[in-house]
Amino acid sequence: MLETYKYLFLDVARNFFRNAKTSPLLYVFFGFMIFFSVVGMAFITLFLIRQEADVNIYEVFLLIMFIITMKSGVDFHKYYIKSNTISYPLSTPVSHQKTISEIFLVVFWIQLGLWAFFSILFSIFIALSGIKLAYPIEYMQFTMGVMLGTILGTLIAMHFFSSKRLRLIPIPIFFLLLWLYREPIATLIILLLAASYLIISFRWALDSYQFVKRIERNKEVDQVKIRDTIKAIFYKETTILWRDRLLFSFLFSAVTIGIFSGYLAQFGGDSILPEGIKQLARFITPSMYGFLGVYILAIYTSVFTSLNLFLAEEDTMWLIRNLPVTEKTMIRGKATALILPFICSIPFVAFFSAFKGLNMIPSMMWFMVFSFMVGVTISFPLGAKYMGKKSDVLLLYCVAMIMFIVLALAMAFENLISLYTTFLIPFYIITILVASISMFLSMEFSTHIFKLKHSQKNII
Amino acid sequence: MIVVENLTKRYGKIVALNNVSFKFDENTVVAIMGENGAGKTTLLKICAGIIPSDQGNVTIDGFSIIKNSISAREKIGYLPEMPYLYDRLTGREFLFYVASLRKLNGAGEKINELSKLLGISHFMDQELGAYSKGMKQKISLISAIMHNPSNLLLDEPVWGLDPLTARTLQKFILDRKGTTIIATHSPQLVEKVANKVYFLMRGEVKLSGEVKEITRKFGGIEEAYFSNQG
Repeated sequence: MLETYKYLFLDVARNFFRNAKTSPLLYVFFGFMIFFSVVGMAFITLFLIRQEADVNIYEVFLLIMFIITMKSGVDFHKYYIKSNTISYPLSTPVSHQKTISEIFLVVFWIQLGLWAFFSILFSIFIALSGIKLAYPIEYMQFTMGVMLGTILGTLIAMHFFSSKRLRLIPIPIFFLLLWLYREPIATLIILLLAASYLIISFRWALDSYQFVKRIERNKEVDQVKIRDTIKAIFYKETTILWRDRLLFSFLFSAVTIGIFSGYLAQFGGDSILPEGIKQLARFITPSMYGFLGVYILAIYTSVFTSLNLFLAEEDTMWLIRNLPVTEKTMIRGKATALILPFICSIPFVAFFSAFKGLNMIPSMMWFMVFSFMVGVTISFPLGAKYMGKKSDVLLLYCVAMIMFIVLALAMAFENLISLYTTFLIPFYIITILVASISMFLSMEFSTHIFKLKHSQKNII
Repeated sequence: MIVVENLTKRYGKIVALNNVSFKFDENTVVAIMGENGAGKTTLLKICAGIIPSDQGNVTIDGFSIIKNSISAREKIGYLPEMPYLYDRLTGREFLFYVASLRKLNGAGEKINELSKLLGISHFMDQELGAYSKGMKQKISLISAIMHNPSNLLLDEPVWGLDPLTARTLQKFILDRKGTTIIATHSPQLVEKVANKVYFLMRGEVKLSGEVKEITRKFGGIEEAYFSNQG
């Protein structure tokens, strides 16, 4: 009874504890980050309450549901579609529908567990500040949102990686219904509808597992040649980024974030921000919108990509360690591959400046280059250290937090200096120089970490 | 030539290799046999520079795998037990990438020749993510041998290969010059290609000797394996 569920759950739990045991410092760090994030969220909530801001609870609901949808989609992809071990339970006489539903059950409990942990911690902080919390209906609606997010994320992963993507059609309809009907009872009905569709989809789920696209690359044969070592690493990394459609995604993000933050910086979000957030937006200056835009973009194009350059090598470590290439060359080769993600993020400045005027270009360009460099500086040593560890989301989160502090300080300095002078070029040059030196030192440090040593703890 | 001195490797409380020493001479094919978890793969991974040892040293043609790792790795070809590759590259792109990193100018001809020999030439321009286990094994094998290494480390080389390719590989091993170390569970492969065999058990050498001698003494490699298991 529920064998696949038990084995998978045990595997997930043991992996977590094993990683925590082998890298205790990292996990203590993660713990602190989670703790301070929840405290931060509680602080923002208290701030909004004190400001008597009318926060629209349904927008918070949609945000939480969206995060859970993404997380459960990634989890289902990891534990089912990309899993190497799931072929064993699939080959037993147990029906495929049952096996796949048990995998879903694991994903379901992971999301619900996360929700319980974060919501209880959040409630404790709020309660400690003396505010009485009594929102049982809202809490139930949020919990239903978590369940719904898990179902929708699973459905998206299941049908996206299959030969029949038309089966994705009901999913946007569910989202539309959620947008239109905001009552708890409507959420319950949509949850039941989505659950029914999921049960039906289990019958087709094997299609996702068997779906492998045999992609012929005959047109690219001419591009295949012997290259210089660093060029070869650059070519390999950018080919993978290109084929995973990440470069397009960077470009798309740069344009949309540029338009969105430029619009907010110019018009203050009067027409598009939710009513509750508008009151908070009074405290945000145009340059802060620019800051947030660059920060979000840098996390994606710089931090995510830098970490991924290492974490994606988890299974191919045998090759990296076996090839006669120095660690320094490998690190530099990987660093050069970041040039394209950076180029893809430049349109942000153009679109932001289209709203705020050309005089913002030097400041925004400086901040973008600086943010990108800070992202790489922090990410590279962590990527080199934790290559082979499956904590990419947590690592990303940690780097994002550190980066926020560094970038906020840099931006504060710029604002401070601009109070005394409008000639900021020396400041930009000095900070970029400092960032360049830091990045160089970070590469050296990463090389040192990456070297194979005697008695080094084995992470492969 | 590969010299392994007093090698020890632990995974937590489990001792994978316990103070073992070997000398793998030139122009010999050495087989390492043993139960699962005996330490065969660990030994090969340490020799290839993939994982570090806790104690001891490995030298490849006189170069330490830790202190002169680049020179040592230039002289090694390694085929892993599980050939994980880059899913979004094609077989051809992957091999040219490896050739570039090994600085093998003019490797194209060699790659074409080996891909035809191993029967993978028709799939060379497909993404590796869609390859079967055997196809990946063939690509890994080409990457391990295309630079004519003086030392070849093969972990379960015929696992997943079709009979024709397995036979081609056996012929290749017999014909090649240099040191070849094979970790395998196949007594037939050992009898066909190896000069010397080591039986590992829980990280220690329980029995070793010339294949002919052991075959004569025990009546076959399989029999020697079972008598060694106690």
